[in-house]
Parts: sequence; structure tokens; C-alpha cells
Amino acid sequence: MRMGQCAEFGACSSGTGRLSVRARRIGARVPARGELVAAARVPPVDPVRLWLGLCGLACIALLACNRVDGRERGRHLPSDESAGRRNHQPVIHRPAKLTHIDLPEPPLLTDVVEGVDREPAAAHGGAKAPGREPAPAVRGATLVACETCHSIGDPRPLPSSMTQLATFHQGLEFRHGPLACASCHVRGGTPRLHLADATEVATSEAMQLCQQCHGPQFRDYRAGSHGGMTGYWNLAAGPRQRNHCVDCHDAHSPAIRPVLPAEGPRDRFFARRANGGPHSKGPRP
Amino acid sequence: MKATSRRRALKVVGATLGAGAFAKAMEPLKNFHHHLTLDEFLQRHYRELSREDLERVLRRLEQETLEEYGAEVTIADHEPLEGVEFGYALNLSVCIGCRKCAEACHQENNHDRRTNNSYIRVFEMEQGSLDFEKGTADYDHEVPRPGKYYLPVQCQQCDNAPCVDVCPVQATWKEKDGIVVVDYNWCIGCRYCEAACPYHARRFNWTRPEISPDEVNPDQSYLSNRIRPQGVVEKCTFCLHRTREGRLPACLEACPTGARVFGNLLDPDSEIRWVLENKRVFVLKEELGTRPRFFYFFDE
Repeated sequence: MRMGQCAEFGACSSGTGRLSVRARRIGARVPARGELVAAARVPPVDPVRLWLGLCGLACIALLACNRVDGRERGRHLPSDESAGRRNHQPVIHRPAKLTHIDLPEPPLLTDVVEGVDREPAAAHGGAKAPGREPAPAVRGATLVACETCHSIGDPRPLPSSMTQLATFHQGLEFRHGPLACASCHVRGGTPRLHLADATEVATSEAMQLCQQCHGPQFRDYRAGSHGGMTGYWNLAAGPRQRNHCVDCHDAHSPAIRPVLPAEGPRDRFFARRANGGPHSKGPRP
Repeated sequence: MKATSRRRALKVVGATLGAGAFAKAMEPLKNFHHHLTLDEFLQRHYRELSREDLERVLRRLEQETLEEYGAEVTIADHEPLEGVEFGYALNLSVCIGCRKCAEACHQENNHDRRTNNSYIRVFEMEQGSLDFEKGTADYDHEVPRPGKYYLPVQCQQCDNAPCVDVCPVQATWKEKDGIVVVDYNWCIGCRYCEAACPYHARRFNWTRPEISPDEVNPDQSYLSNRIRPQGVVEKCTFCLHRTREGRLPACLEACPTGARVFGNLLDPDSEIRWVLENKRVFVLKEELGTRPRFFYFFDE
């Protein structure tokens, strides 16, 4: 052992001479030779026992603080195993099914179902996901089937404008260009519609009627980029329900009506904004 | 009986004090019980987990959800489908700003009820402008308002995603089908990704999400809508727990005007491809070179 190193620590008696010189310089008390020997006689702590004790304490603390479920965790497996998992064939977890809720109203329209054979007429609004409200334009519209009234009584001549409605359909809001009732409706018992070439179609086929004037929308609809839908994007995995024109547009007043939006975010940006904080201009996207 | 020596007494006192100090020093470990279990602490990265380990992790997370939230849920692992890359398009001409998409996202993805969090922000914008400084996301009047248009913004699933580049621990990455995902158990909550995202699409869980058991969506996935822990970043995953089963995302199903178009970019007959080929689409902040997979368009 080098002399200097020993003197720095002062634990070795052979270094006391030099230490005492340095200590005297700074005015500290230097232990006498006997005192150092006495200190050395204190039985040293067995390092193995100390270590075991500390480990034991740590284990107790961990056991007390944690739920150790005793399950043996698998060691990290070679990456080819993980790669195998990632490469295995995709699984469609859910069987194909139609998600629609049964509403008590009588069927008014046939919802458009893709990916399966045409389903029996679902209830109006049947294409909506559970818990979903009807489209804004339809909300509040009457949900009485045409047949309720039209199956009784003699049909009268169709008036040429709304103002001539004397008994039924009074107050019907009509904002759909210069059309008259007879532009679309057929006079008769069961409500039917007619196309521009006088071909009669059922009310459920109103899309045929609409597309005569609204070609671009019909084109987009056929391409899947107009009108809401639910179900599957992958028709091989399951069916898809498409909204009909009149699910969202009131045929007599087709413009989408103003609605109150769902509740906005309440996170810290907007809370601060309300308080006139640093984000008073709102977040940037 | 031998009298207790002073040394022995000091030893006992010293040992007691030492044990006390040790217990005090180890006290933070007690919080592990509530927020971080030993299993979770030792869990490997999602992409390094073997199938058996992952299965064990999923069952553990289900158990934890039951204990912490009182909700019985199924947490699955949905893998990318072969031959599928997802794309999304949104028709700004028909969006009315009703926020139904944000609401559906909130419910589908088990968001914190207190902050009404959602991966979608709908901006009310000045017509003729794309200046977000003039847009507001917390409007609460009847929509649509004349002179405005509505621009929903969510994760754009960029091909060149800045959020992925900045993550110091690779807790977020881009999957084969184009979806940028987060391993919520690997995320350290540094929020670099949140700062890097030019679309403000990432959210940070400042608190443990609050959600009542009856409102928890039990149909969950590891990388998607399972209830996120406190202190991690979360983001839109195009509802991968639905879309990787072939279903449509929740925001699309909720849209009452049909403004949203979703599909497989690799399928030439898909709706999304039709939109990209027949509509004049644009992406947000194209100049940043992020190459989003989320497209916007107007009807002519």
C-alpha cells in the first residue's frame, strides 16, 4: 500500500505520522496509537450477513407493497416467435351480423343494405346504430305510416300547391323548388310515386325519383361518398346499411336543418380559454 | 439471565432505526400497488411480447379494469389485415359541425368523462379560409352557421409522422396498415409526440380517466380503446378494434350527413379510392411533408 494513500484515510497506523503532521497544521486532534488499536478491536460486521439482511428487508417491503401473483413470467422468447405471431393470418373476430334496433313504428322505407341479399324492410331508422339519434332533418318528422290514412276513404284530386290543402297535410312545410304534389305523388289509395316518365314506383324506391334531378348526389351515393352508413367497410366481412335519401332529407323540405351541436371539449385548453388564460385564442391544430 | 449490555441495546436501537429508515425510503413502492403492478413494471414492449406473454398481459389488463373500474371488458389484440391500408376522407361540403363524430369517439374509445375528451376536434372556420387562428373548436350555437364551414380534425395517420420520429422510447410506431399506434404501457409520458404533431391530434392523460362502469365500452383492444393509464399519451387509431374486424369507425357511423368516407386504399374498387380519383382532395398542412392518410374534399 502506498504511504500517501494510507495517510489520506488515516485508518492505518503506519500513516499516522504523516497524518498527525497534516492534522497539526489545521489544528485537529490526532488519535493516539492506542485509540486506533482499540477501534480495530470492534468485531467487524459480517458483510455476507449484512447483505442477506438487507435483501430480506427489501423482499419484505416489496411483498408488502405489491401484489405478486406468483405466476411465473415467461422469459423473453426469441424474436422469431414474436414474428410468427405478427404474421399469422388475420382473424375476423366477429360473425357477420346486422346491427339495428327495432323501433315500434311501422316500416316506412326500405333501408339499403349492401353485402347481403336485400333485407326485409327495416323500421324507419333501422339503419342507425344502437343509441344513435335519427338524422337532423328527420328528427321531429311524423312517424305515422301513409297507409294509416290512405287506406281508408276515397282519394281526392291532388292539389297543385300546398296552400290548397284543406283537410290533411295542413301546415306541411314545402321548400323544394317549384314542384307540385303531382310532380311526384300518384293519386290513389296506396301512396305511390311516379317518375318523370310516368313509371310508378313504391315510396320505398324514392331514390329513383330523387336521382332524376340530383344526379351528382346519386353518383356520389352510388360511389359511397354521399350519405351515412353503418356496418362494415369490408363487405366480405359483413353487411353495410346505407341511409336512404329521406333518412336525412325531408322530401318536402330537403335542406339540412340547423341543429345544436353535441357538447364540446372541456379539456384544459378550453378551460383556460374560458378564464382568459394564455390559450385565449384556442388551440392550433 | 445475562444483563443487557449497552452495546446490545445500541444495536437493537440502531437496527430498529435502520429498518424504519429503510421502510421509509421504500415507501414510494407502495404506490405501485395502486398505479403500477410488478407485472406491469416488468412488461416488455408490445412488439417484443410473445403470444403467450401478450395473452397474459391482456388477461391481467382485463382483471385490472374490473378491479379499478368495475367493468367486465374484453381486451383483444387486433393485428393489421393483409393487403389493407386504411384511408379516410371527409366531405367538407356536407359537414354541418354537429360534433356527433366527436361524441361517438368519446363513447367508443372510453374517454375521460370529466374533460369530455375526444380524438376529434371540430373547428368552425371562416368560409374561404384555412386559417386555424380564425377557427374555434368550442362553439355552442346552432350549426351550420352562415358564412362558416366545419373542419373536423383528428389523427391524420401520417406516413411521415413527426410524432413517431420524436418518441425517445419507440412507444409509438406506424403499423403495416398505416395506423399510428401507441403502446400505452411503454409510453413514458414525455409528451414530445404531442408537441411534434402539427395537427394537435394527441392527448395526454393528466389524470386517471374517469368513467362509470355502465359507460365503459367493453369491446376493447390493446393498442386502441382500452382505458388508458394516467400519464400516457393517447391518439386516434381509426378505431382499429373495429376497422381491423372489417367494421366502419365509430365517427363515420355517427355522422348524420355522411360526410365521412373510409376504406382500403389498396382496393381499387373501394369508396375511398373513388373519392381520391374523382374528387379534388387536399390534406392539411401539406407543406410540412407529413403525408397524411386523412383527406378532405369539397363537392364541386
